[in-house]
Amino acid sequence: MLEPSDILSLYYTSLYSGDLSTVKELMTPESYTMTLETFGLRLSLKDQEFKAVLKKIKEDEDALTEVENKLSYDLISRKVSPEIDIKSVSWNGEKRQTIDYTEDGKTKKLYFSKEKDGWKINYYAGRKVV
Amino acid sequence: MNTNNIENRRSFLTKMLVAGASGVALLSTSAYAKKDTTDTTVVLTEDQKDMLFYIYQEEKVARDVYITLGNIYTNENTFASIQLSEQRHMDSAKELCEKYGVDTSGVDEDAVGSFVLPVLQELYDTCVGEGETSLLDALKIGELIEYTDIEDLEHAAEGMPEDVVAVYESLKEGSLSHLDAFQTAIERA
Repeated sequence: MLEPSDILSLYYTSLYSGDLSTVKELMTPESYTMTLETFGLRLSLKDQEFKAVLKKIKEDEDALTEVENKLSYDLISRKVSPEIDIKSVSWNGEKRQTIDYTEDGKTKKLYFSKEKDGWKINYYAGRKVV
Repeated sequence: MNTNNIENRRSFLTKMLVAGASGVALLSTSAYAKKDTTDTTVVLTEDQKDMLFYIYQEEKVARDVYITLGNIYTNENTFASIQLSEQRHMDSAKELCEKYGVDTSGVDEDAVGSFVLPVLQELYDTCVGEGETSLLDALKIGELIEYTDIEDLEHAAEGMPEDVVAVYESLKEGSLSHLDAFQTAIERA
């Protein structure tokens, strides 16, 4: 089972190499959808057709596949390869962790929750659970 | 989404509040979040508390985008006036967090344009990048942000207790006003 610190590195390398199938495996479903919607925003502002398809990804598998394909190319074209430096790992509860790190020197956090199939990135898991 | 659709949604949500309907499950977040009550005290589920915290962080994106674009388009008053309103939105969202014991200390409100969550940073960067192109594009970004906020607040409110729904409804009304302001400014630009 991958630990959050492993997932963090894999998240960045997968995301910016356009490997969204791996990104999907590293996240909860809700966080993956948010990732597609947010990182797809730039494309949707320039491409009305993509924008229309992006709106349907939650309920349409074909739309999801189309978005993933187009977004994958877009992410690769950004030629981003940030330097990641983990600063600390903290527990927010029995099944939650937060990793504090820097991305090209800028302070960042990623939240993780322990799901049935292992640790996953979970954007909603930033709150400390007593 | 068009304005008629949003007006219909405004009317629908108001009816929900009046009827006391609170049994609708959250859609985009969790299928199993529900409201529990202990005597007269409302207790949120863990998922619902998570949602409070996330909404608070997301409100900062809108505020920060308007601050940044307002600093670029200094002759356009829309950004300056709406950013003040967005600060109040953040304050309301933060108060809800504090009311339900959600720790908000990890969010640095003074760091404009800086977000610890990569997905929110991406959202901010994309909005500002697009808005830097022209005033019209910046105003359209404002319009988009408000549409998105309204949708997110509606989803976030589903299944929540009445006090949370009331706050989110108030925030949504604010976003509707902001939307009107941006659309007026777009026509003028």
